[in-house]
Amino acid sequence: MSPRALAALVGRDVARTRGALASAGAGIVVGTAALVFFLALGLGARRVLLSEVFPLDVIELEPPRTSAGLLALLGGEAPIDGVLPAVATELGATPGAREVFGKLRFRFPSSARGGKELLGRELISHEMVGDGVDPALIEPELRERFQDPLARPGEPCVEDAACGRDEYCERASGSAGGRCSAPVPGLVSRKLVEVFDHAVAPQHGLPPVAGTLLARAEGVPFELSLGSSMLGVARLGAPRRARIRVVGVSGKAIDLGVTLPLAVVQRWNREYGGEAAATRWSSVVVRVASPADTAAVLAAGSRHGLVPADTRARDVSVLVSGVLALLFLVASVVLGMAALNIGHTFRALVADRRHEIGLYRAVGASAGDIRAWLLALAVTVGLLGGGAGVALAWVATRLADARARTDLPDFPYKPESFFELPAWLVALGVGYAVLFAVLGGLLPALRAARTDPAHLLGGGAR
Amino acid sequence: MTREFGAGAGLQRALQGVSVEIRRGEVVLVEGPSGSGKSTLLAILGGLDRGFTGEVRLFGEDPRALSDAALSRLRGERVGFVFQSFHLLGHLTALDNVLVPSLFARGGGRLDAARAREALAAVGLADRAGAFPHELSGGQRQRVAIARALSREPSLLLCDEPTGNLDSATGEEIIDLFAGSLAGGARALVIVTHERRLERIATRSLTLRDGRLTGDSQSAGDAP
Repeated sequence: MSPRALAALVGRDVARTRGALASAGAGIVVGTAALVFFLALGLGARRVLLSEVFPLDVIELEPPRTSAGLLALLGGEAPIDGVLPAVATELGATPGAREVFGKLRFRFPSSARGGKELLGRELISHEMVGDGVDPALIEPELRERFQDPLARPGEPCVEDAACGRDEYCERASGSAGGRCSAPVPGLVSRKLVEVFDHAVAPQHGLPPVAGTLLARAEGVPFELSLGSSMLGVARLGAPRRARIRVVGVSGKAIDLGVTLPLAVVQRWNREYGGEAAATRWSSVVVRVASPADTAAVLAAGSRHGLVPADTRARDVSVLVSGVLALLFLVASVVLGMAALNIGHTFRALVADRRHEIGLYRAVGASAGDIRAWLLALAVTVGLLGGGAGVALAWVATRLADARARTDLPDFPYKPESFFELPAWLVALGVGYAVLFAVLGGLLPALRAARTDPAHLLGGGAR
Repeated sequence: MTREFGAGAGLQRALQGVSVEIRRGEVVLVEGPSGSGKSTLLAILGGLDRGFTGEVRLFGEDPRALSDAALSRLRGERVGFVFQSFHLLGHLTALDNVLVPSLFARGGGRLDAARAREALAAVGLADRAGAFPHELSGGQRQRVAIARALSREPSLLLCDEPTGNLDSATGEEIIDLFAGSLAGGARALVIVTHERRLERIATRSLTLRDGRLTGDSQSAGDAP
């Protein structure tokens, strides 16, 4: 049978049996809509959680945390633990690892004050934590502003007054003179800003800061006290001040504190903690080609005694995958029931059309033609039902987003849309609908193909 | 050929050792009481039933040796059926009913609407092409069924009680149609019937009783 003839047969069937087929396809519509809606919701949640909150393509490995780290911070004699650069290089050679970056935490006490321009009043942090990262790890749009200011050293100086407007004298403790330097660019964590804007600021009547930080390209100034804090003073060096300027919000910044260019933190760690504090990475960040490569990198890190700094990404990934699998199962059950309904409808249809099928066989239809006819009808029910289901799901996602915008309170990481509906999910929804429709129509189609056309003779009975 | 249904105590022999040859140009009446095996014979001759034992050649081919697709193609291209109950499809017009066999035809065997209209005109229904079966009389329905059977110019036309559901006058018209459908001797007609009137176009009569061929006689019908 030609495709044109098949299309003509199916078209006539859809026209004359639309009531029964619509009833049979209703389950497919509901099942597909549930499948697409739930998966779109799951994908939306995964997008927000694993790309913004807990990135899964980046693994941070560090030595197991001990009390020795606190001792070192306070200037005790505890050895500096960390990751040797050679180990980082080795981790970079792990299959699936794309890039490796060393990270250095502040290995000296510090405190900070500032933020008046941003918040309307000055904030004081008696204990400031921070780290340094390679600018290559930072989002490209921030990278240019996130460089060590002494990469282009200014005029020699001994005090800030000798430097230009907005500059300060970066003079290491114990040295006779320093260099005029622009404020050190700093980044704050997207998580911190989200929590501050949506939870802390509303409670304390403060303005949200994210928009300001993003809008003010010139940055927000803070003053950092190096080498001393509420906890004490550093083992080496003398306390002094440095200026930093928050230039942006980054997903790669330390959760609670400030992230600076790696070269700056290396310099300050050397000044206040010695050579080992500057050359042993506090942790290494490995960017993998895909989340599937994380296991190999974790195993390689484990061989060097390193553990993941944050397992939340993996935990969330497992949780999201589990929820998605559950929702997929629920939708599959709905579609399975729809397939049973289609099977029932098609059995009735085949019984009702026994004479018609016999006639087709008598005038030249092969068993294969009959099978193709009924399976094409099932495919059509699946396509129409699947298409309608996807459309229904899309409408439901738009409605849910609209309601969420107006009815849900602001919360950290509240997305513009809770859903993600990529083309592949549309194809999956329709494909799954067709699959279940065909499964439902398969047995009746096989039975129809076995219809004995000889029953047409003898007035309808042999 | 022999054809049995069921097994054991329920075994039923529909045909027993029937040997018959149908040639081009013949108009063969198959007569006999109900249950004598007439319809079974027709089903085997039309390639609808392959469950027989013995030997059958359909246009030189053994139907059991052919694949289902090949046998279906042979049936579609060379065999036409006319049924007692017409078996028109109620959702299609007369024209579309005539076009049904072409849905399953391969290649050049497909029929276009113009040829289907010619087939309807040949049975006197040129002006009823757009009518649905429920809008037609019994005789008109059978004419549409005959147009459908003849539309692909089969070599063998198998008719199962073609006048059984028609009144006398309409039956006569149908018989005349059969008489005119012999394609100058290139076609064979096998008609299962109880109607004596059909004898006027028959060239041969077969009689079946209890599945056995009890009579095979030449007759002098009007047919060429």
